[in-house]
Amino acid sequence: MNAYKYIIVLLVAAMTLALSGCEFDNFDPPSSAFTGQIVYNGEAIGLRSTGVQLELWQDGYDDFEKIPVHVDQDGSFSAMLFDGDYKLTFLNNNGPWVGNTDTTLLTIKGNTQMDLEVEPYYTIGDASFSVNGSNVEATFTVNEVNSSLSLLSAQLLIGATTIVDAVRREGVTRVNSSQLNVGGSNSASIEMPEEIVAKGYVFARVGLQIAGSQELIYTPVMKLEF
Amino acid sequence: MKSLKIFIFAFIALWSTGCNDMWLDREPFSILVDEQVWNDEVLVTGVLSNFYDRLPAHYSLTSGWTNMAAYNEATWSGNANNNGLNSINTYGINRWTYWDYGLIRDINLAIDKMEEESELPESTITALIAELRFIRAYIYFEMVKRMGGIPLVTEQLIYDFSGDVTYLQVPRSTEEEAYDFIASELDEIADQLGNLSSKTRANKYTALALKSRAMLYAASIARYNNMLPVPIETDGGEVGISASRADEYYQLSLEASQEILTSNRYRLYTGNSDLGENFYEVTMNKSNNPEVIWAQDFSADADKRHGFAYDNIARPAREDNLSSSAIGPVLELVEDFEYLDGSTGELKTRTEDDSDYIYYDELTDIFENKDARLFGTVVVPGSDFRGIEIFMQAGVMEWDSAADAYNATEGALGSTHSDDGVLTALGGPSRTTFEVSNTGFYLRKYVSNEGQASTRGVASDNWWVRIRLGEIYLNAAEAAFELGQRGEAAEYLNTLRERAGFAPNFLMANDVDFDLIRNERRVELAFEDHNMWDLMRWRIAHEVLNGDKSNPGAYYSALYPYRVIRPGDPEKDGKFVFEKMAVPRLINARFFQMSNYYSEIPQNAINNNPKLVRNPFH
Repeated sequence: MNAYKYIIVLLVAAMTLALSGCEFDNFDPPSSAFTGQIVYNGEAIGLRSTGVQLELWQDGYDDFEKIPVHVDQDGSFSAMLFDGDYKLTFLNNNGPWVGNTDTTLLTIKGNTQMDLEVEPYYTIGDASFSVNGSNVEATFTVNEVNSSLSLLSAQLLIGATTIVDAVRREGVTRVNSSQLNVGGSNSASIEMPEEIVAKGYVFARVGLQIAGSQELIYTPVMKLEF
Repeated sequence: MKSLKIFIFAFIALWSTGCNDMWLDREPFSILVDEQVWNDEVLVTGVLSNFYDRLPAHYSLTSGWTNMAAYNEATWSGNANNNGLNSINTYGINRWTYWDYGLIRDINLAIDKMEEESELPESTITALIAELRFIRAYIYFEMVKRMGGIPLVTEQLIYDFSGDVTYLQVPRSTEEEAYDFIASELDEIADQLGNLSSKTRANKYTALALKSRAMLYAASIARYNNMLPVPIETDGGEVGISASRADEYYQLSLEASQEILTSNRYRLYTGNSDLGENFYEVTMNKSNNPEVIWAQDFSADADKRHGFAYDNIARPAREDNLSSSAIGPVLELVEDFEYLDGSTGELKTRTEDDSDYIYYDELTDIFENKDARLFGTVVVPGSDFRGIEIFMQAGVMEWDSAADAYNATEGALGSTHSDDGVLTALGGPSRTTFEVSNTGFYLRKYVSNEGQASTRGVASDNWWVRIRLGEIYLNAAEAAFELGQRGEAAEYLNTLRERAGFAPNFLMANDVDFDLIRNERRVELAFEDHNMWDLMRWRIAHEVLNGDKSNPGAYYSALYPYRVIRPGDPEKDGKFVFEKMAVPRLINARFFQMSNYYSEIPQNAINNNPKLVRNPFH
């Protein structure tokens, strides 16, 4: 009996030792939030979710790899970082704006907020949506900012979830640039598929496709109930 | 104590005499040294065989074959592991990335060693070096078509320990320079290559065939890239070729093709009078196949086998207890095979006024008079594979006279309907079951019909054709057409189409246009790793695979056969009708973006070599 007690005490001691023992994982996870938005004239630009990527680089460490920062569909981005000095760059012609190869220097110390100003080729705004029977109708304005690339089309996109873009969608109508009124008001309509009509709600947004730019520029996603 | 000393002395003496003078100079048993390798033709062939084996393919019978179901030829009908192929929403920008400078280095090293170390006869050395340079040119072609201009490294990069590595950081060539390099390498080595009777090692005609293909790619990029509203290019020309060079490249491609065609060393395969079976044998027959120019061979004797038939054999003919049916060719591909009278290949399932189905006595009747290549590429419902009828029936259509309409019923595989007839065939198609056709078709091309070839124990040893004469005819036709020689283009196409059952001299010069050439390439070269590359070099991939579910180029259809039960009407009862529908397991439309035209240079390559310019949109 005594021997058993002895063994148990030994086991408990060993377990305590094992639990308190290791301190190898002595790094805290990065805790400074870097947040911001891609803006034009102070207004956030609507994008495809994860379509645009920013790159963060930090010099001075062995492991010199980019930290990719994906931009959300409302133009916002965020990353959890260690405090320090970083360089921020845009990918070449990645977004629907004039390519900018400048590097932005950036110091992270605690939570840091920074908006990035870009110059889009075209802007789309004043969007309003309505449901008419099984159709979604939209009106919107298109404005030219920089004419170095031409406009291809405007697209009315509908989806079943809050994420709607040229990739994730249930339907699209395109209005070709020849029928678009640049500088004025435009309209488009699309018939909803039956599954969407049955749901009683739909998400919609409009976007502009620009020749030579992979990504569209969008209005915010609107939820329509009917 | 003394005796111990003597003992130690004797021990040492014994050992020092025991070993002979060559103790430190012995031949190693486990490795071969330079002078052994490079002076022995068999060992050099071993090195070459290793290099051939490492050549890339976006898909072949072994590497990445599932990608056959990732674009517009097929969808995935196989097991759950690869369901992702049916729900690709975008292609990653590194999907086609190929950056194998390890292999380039090995080849450059081999060339140097052959030059410096080898004491083989001069002519042998020249031929072997030419073969190494061919492999290198092929790799650079595979790189440039994926990445645009790449660093053209032609000798070993050796560090001099000076602390400065910038001389090792080779910048990217322009896309033009890369294609010019490939052409000049092939020109130089063509007459030095031996292997005239080989179909797996490069000879003069393999070099010409690669030149025919590479120059066609360069030409179409020069022409079609510049037709985009905004051409895809970089400032330094790493991507993009000036439009003024298009004609020159087309001419080079045409000349290379013509040299192969007029040499009469190769001819189209016509070994079987059944034209569909004949087309199947074009890629399958390994003995005395006059059409194959270059192939990656497999051999059961050497235990070099693959499981392509195991994964892709039609379900009713499978011999193993698992897998089968993985690649499901889509209806759009089947319909791209024209009728032999030249009309578009759309299958007729409904009467002209769309009031009723068309009733067929036999499943195969709907495919009657189609381009015979269809039957060599795809297993259509009711056709034979290895002597087994691939019967396919999705369900029954029972006439409800009260409702004046049909009621469709589908069941489990191999189920029987209440009238004791077949409900759903063992071969499907089925909307939801895995490992049975989901599209209404099975793949035939490259699926071996040897006994036991679809078992894991025996597996298949049919070869993967890298280049065959059929492609050379198409290359010649395309280059001739682009150079305004439409009569000549029509002749090349007619030769190829005659083998598929079309009447001789069917096409006139005026019939030849871009869409015809595009369609000919699609049907002739389906499942041979050409289709996506063609769409890319013509710069139409983003329009064809545009992510739109209403676009048949991006979202595909299936064809489901049903048996009609309508006892009151002997004209219709027991006949077959066909229903077209979206492929049930296909979730997303295919979406090819502008950033996919050129693939991403690996980040570690850019980290090591800051001179590498990134591709557009990356």
